[in-house]
Amino acid sequence: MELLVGILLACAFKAATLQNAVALNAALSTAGTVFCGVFVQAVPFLVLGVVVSGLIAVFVSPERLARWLPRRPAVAVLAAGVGGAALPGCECGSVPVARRLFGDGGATGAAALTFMLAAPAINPVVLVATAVAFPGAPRMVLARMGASLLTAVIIGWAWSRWGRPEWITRRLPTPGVRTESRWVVFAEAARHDFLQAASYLVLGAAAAAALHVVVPQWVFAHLAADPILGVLAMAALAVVLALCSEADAFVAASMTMVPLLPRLVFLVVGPAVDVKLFAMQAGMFGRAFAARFAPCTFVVAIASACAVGSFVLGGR
Amino acid sequence: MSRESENIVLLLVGLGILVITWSGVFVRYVKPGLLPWLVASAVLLIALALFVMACDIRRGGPRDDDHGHAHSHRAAIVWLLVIPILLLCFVKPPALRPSAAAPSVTPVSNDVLNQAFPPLPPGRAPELSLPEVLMRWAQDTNGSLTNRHITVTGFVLNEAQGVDLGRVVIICCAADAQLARIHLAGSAAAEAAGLPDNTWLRVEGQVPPRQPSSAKIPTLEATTVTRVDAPPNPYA
Repeated sequence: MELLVGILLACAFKAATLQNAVALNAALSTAGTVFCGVFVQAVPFLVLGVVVSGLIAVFVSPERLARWLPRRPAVAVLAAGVGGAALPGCECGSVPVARRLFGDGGATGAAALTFMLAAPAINPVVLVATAVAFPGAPRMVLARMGASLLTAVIIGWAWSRWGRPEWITRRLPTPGVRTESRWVVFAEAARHDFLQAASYLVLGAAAAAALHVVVPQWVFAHLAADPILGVLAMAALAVVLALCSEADAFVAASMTMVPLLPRLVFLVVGPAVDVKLFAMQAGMFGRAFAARFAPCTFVVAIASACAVGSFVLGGR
Repeated sequence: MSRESENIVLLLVGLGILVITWSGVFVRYVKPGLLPWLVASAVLLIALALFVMACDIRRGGPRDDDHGHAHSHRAAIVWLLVIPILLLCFVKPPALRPSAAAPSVTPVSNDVLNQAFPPLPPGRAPELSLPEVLMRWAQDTNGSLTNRHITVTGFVLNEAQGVDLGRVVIICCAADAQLARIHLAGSAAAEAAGLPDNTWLRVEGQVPPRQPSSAKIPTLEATTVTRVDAPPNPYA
């Protein structure tokens, strides 16, 4: 507490010095602005996410969720993927929601992970944004929805087949005495989830800002002209940029020198894996989980984007 | 970090967001349209923090479960949230400079995107944003820019082959910034050429229609050039 107050006071007194130091250094001020951009942009979605996760903590016990979901795990995963369309937000919000739904990982674990991957990519807001960004290519919307849903469902099935509960090292705090009012349960869940997710968001936003300064975007644009290298370059760019899934379609649309298929890969990988999501997943689920989940999702997302893309978009 | 400090951090994140929306600094980082959502989330965060603090005080101390070993792991990570609080409240990084934006000058140029744009607003020289000029120039089948005077605001970019008018465009937040630019030519371009980079200008002139052989960047035949203050929203 004393340390916190001390840091704040010291910075308040030195505010002018700090401002000048940052403004005079081009790399530092760019990184600072990109960091603030990613963080400020994510806050409303994160708040929406923790409000939903707080409501889940109050009203949806794991037993009740398991009763709602179809009995067969494979069908439950499919239902969760399609259900992802109901959360209109971007990926920062869906991590805490999925963590609440995940619970102890029993019957609902695979469905929660599918929901986490599907929600930011196939909700109506994102699909409309994609349609607006690609007015000349309506199949892009179809391809994005199909490939993202496919990724989410494959990962969900993979989790129910090979997932191991001991990878989940981060536990949610056990709800206190059952007599607590619903408001308290809600506030405690929202508080815990916001602090946890936002702290890791800071880590991810800092990584995105640093990469933004160190690796200029034109490097990726040059690589992307080659078809195979292009797919990998755009997938890597999606991980590095850590864009919000409601904005990435416009960025992809502006890269006119890149063929459509690599741009589809960019749109499918971005909401599923990026540096800030990796940090947030490590914080909410555990490092052992994130270290396995992110590379798997990366590979599956590229593969399903290529498969769906070559089927829907043709050779363009 | 103790539970009390965590609650203060939660409160400060909310206050920080409120401060940057109040002072207008937030347009350096995100689109102005995010304003109502930022205010709503700031109010929610502040209310949440105050509610949790009030509960703790009424209970006469923090909840028991926070003294258990189960929570020791998160003690350190919440410190990271102090970084955005300090940045937003005290450092306030400046708006992006043109060199930091991706040099993507391409207004989407697929021919499939060509469409009929609505006519320009009436008036002698209506004010258009730079990206809109680029889009109309590249895609408008009505040729709405032909033979019309327009007014465009942007900053000076001195290049080897002449002077350009530039504007940083963001779609969502500062992480996706791109640089839009138009070449300046015509009688008044010489006035702009003498100015240092990043000087804000309002330029009046005409944009000749696109020819199949045209360069990728249009040219603004400037008739008058006026120096202006930097606009409140730095991005277009």
